[in-house]
Amino acid sequence: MPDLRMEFTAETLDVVEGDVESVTEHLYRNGFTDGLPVVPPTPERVERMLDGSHRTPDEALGVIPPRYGEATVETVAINAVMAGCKPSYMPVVETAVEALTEEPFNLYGVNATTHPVAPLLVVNGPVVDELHLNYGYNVFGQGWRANATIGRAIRLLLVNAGGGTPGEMDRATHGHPGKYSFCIAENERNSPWEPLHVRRGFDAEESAVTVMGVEAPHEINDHVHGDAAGILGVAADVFATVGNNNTHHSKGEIALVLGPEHAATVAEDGWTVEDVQWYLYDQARNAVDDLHAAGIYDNYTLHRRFHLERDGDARIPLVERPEDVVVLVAGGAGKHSMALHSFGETRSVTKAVEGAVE
Amino acid sequence: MGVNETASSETVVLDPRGRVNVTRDRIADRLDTLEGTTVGLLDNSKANADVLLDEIGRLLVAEYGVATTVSRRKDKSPIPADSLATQLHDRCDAVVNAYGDCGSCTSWCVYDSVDLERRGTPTATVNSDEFVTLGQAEARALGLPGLPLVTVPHPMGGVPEKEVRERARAVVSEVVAVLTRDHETLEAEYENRYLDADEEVDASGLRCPI
Repeated sequence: MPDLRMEFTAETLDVVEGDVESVTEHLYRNGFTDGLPVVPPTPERVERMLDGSHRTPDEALGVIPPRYGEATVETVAINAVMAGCKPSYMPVVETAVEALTEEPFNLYGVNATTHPVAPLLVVNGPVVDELHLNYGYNVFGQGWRANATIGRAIRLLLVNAGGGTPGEMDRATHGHPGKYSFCIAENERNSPWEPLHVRRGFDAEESAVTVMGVEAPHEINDHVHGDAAGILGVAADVFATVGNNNTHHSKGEIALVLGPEHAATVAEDGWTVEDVQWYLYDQARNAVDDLHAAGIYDNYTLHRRFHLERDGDARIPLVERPEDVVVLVAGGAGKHSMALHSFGETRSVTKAVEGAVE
Repeated sequence: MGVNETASSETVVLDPRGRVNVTRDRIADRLDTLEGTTVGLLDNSKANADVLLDEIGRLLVAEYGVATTVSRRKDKSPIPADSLATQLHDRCDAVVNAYGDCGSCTSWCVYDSVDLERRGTPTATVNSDEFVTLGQAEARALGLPGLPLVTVPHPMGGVPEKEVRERARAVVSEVVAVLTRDHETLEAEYENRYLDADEEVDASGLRCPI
C-alpha cells in the first residue's frame, strides 16, 4: 500500500491483477458495474475524488434501498471514480443522492419495480457552465463527460449501495436506456421562462439538482403550428396514451421538455409556465371507457372526482394537479420536444448544490 | 501505486457497496390458536389480491375458528400501508398480507409486514413464486430475515376467479401455520427458504447470468 493521507471506511476488495482489463473484469464478475468498463477505484483515485467534495468522507448522504447500503461521501466517491467523474462533479452527485433518498421520491419502489423507470437528474444554475453539462443539442444523448458520468455514478450507486442488480433486487421487466446514465441540464439561456429551480424557490445564483422517476423520453414532433395551443395540443396527444402509469396512479408527474424553438413559440403567444401546466392538465386526458378497455381503472382519487360508473366519456387527467406537470426547456435547434411519463407513485425532489458556487 | 501496465502487478480497489447498518430482529410471537381471533386482511390492490384474501378469510372463519376478519385495501401497491397498518395492528390479532407479484409491490408489501411484525402483530405475507426471492432479500435488508413468505404461483393477475380461489385453498394451511407455530421454528424454516446466502437467483430463463 502506498502512503496515503486517508484511511478508508470501505473494505478493500481482494487484490486483483493490476491491468485495467483485469480490474474491470473482476468488478464486472462481482456485479459491481453497469456492464461497461469502469475506472478502477484505487485508494489514490478515491482520495483525489474526495478532494472535490466539500464534506467529510464519513458524512452519510442517505441509505439506498432496497439493499439499504449507506451512501457516505466516501461511497459516492468510489462509485464516481468507477463512473469516470472528475472530482469537481462530486457536489452534484452528492446532491442527487440526497434528493433521491428523500421520502417523496419513493426510491424503495423505484429501484425494485418492474416498471421501466430511471431517476432523471436535471441540473440548474451556475454549476451547469462550471462543469460543462450539456443543455443543448442531443441533451438526452451521448457526448458530454459531465452528463454521462454524473448520471452513471448515480446508477452505479443504485446497483452497488442499493442492491439494484437486474433480476435480483432490480426487477425491471425491461428497464430503459437511461438506466446507464440519465442526466441533463436545463437550457436556461434559451428558455423564455424562469429556470426550474427558481420556480421551486431557489435563487438563480444557486445551483440545484432535481430528480424525477420517469420513463424514457418520447418524441413530440410539431413542425406545423405557430401557436401555443397548437404545439401543446400535439404534446397533449403524446402524453394522453393508455398503458402508462400516470393513468392509474395519483402521485405521478409528467415532464414536458420543450425544445427552445417550441418554447419560444409558446412564450411568444403569451403563455406562462402555469398556462402550459393547466393546458396539459386539462387536455392530456383519457376517457373512462378507454381506461376500462385497457383494464386500468379503480384509482381512488378518480372515484372521488369523476362519475366513473355513469359517464364513460368523462376525461381523466394524467396528474392530480396542474403543478404536477413539470415544464423544462432543453435541447438544441429544431421543432421537437419530449414527453416523459412517471413511475406514478413518486414526486420529483429539488435540492440545492452545496458549495458549488465559489 | 495505481494501475500498472504489467499484467503481473496487483491493484487494491475499494468496495463500492457501502455498509449496511441494520438491526436484525426476530419475528413477532405467534398466536396459540386462531380460535376466536380477529384476523386482518391487507389487500395491496394488485389484481386478484381481493379475491385471494376473500377466500383465505372465508376459510379461516369456516374451518379454523377465526371469529372475524377485518379488511383494508391500500390505494396503490407501491406505497406503504401506514395508517391502514396501524388500524390492523390495533384491531387484529394477526394479519394476512397480499401480495408481492411485482417489484415495487413486493417492496412495500414486505415493508408493511416487517412494520407489523416489529409492532408485535404476526403476519402471513403472500408472494408470487417469481418474486419471492426479491421478497426474501428485502426482508433481510429490513432486518427481519425470518419473515415467513407464503408463495402462490406467478402470475396472479389475469387468472380466473375460480383458479384464484383454488390457489387460496392451496395455501391456507401454510398461512395458518405461519400465524400459529412458534417463532423460532418459523424463522429456522423461512430465513433461507428461497435464497441461500450465496445463491444466485434462478429465474428460469428470465435472468441472464453474468
